[in-house]
Amino acid sequence: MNKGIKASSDDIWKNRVDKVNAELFTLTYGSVVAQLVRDFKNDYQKVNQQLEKMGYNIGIRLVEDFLAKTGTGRCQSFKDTAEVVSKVGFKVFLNVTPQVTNWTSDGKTFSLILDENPLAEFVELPDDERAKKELWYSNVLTGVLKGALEMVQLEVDVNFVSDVLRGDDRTELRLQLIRFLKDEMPAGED
Amino acid sequence: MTEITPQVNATCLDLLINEMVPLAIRTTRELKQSYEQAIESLVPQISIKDEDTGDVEILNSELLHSEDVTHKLENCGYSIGIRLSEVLIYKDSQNEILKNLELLNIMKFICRDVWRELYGKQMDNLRTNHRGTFVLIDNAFKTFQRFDSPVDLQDTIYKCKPYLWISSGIIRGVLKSFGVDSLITPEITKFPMVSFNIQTNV
Repeated sequence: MNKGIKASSDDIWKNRVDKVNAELFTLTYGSVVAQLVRDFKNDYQKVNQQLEKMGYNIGIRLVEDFLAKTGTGRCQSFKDTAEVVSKVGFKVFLNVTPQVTNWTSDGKTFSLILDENPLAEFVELPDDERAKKELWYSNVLTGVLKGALEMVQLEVDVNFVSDVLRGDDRTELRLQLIRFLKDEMPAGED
Repeated sequence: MTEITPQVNATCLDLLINEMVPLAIRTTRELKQSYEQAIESLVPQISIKDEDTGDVEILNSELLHSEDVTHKLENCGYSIGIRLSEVLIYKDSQNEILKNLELLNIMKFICRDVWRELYGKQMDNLRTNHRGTFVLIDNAFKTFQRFDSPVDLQDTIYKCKPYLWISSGIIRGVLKSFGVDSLITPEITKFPMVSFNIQTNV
């Protein structure tokens, strides 16, 4: 099944997606983060918050595009969801495929390991020790995942637990399923 | 030329740019609130209201056209412009622009290379009085493609205007990367047509 997903996402990426130079995207995001850091005078907690909020708003819109382009159906389990997020979602939007790993035994929490992160190419954190401890540079992703998954009736908690920009070995996002939301679609729509 | 430039889905950039104006409004609002809180030293801390997540209501904020928001957007654009210029020239060291650094040529570089990279099309018109003033015109500004207010066209235009500060900043940044200082006034001439009036010090 995984092979099937991968082949079809490759195909969608190749043939059905309008693309832009990743560097342009990277430096646009970078200028947004830099501006926030300046505005909040290096209060990195606030920067993280704003990035997540912005991400949430992006996520709830992104999901429409995702469904339209990929025609992905309903996932049977949270395990399926994890695979789709990585192999379809990340692939079709950012052209990377994070590893899905570190499942808890109850099957409700897993990690995404980003070996490549287009947001953080050529990035160095501000040269103060606090930035390395407090700033989650790519925090927009936590919001995007929350927003997008909420739109398909999954309430999740998403956090970064490590980031190579901080000197960690790898960049890891942790996703925890909180609950399935009640289907609020009008009758007659699936 | 075998090296392939890495790419991402254009929707990512569109959505990111769309969120820049709401973000600037939220930031301005939060900074104002914490400033006022500090002054009144209110206890316990008031939580930041969350009424603005997820919809376009935030664009009705009285801060939409405030100096703070404008300044943040223009500034963001400026730093994009400075870096984008480097990226484009580094990528293409054969670029015409490097053979002739006259101002008119730099403007053509903006109209052609910069605009194509940003919006997938060239600027439609370039005018100049040959004394340092230029007008660049884009007949169908890409950022506005998906914008349509349920109220009316006038409302759409009113809410679109701040997005132009990002592009203005980008143009100013690119010009600055060539050592040219400029003053730029963006305008929505006839939606979705936009123009940038550029005055340079040259």
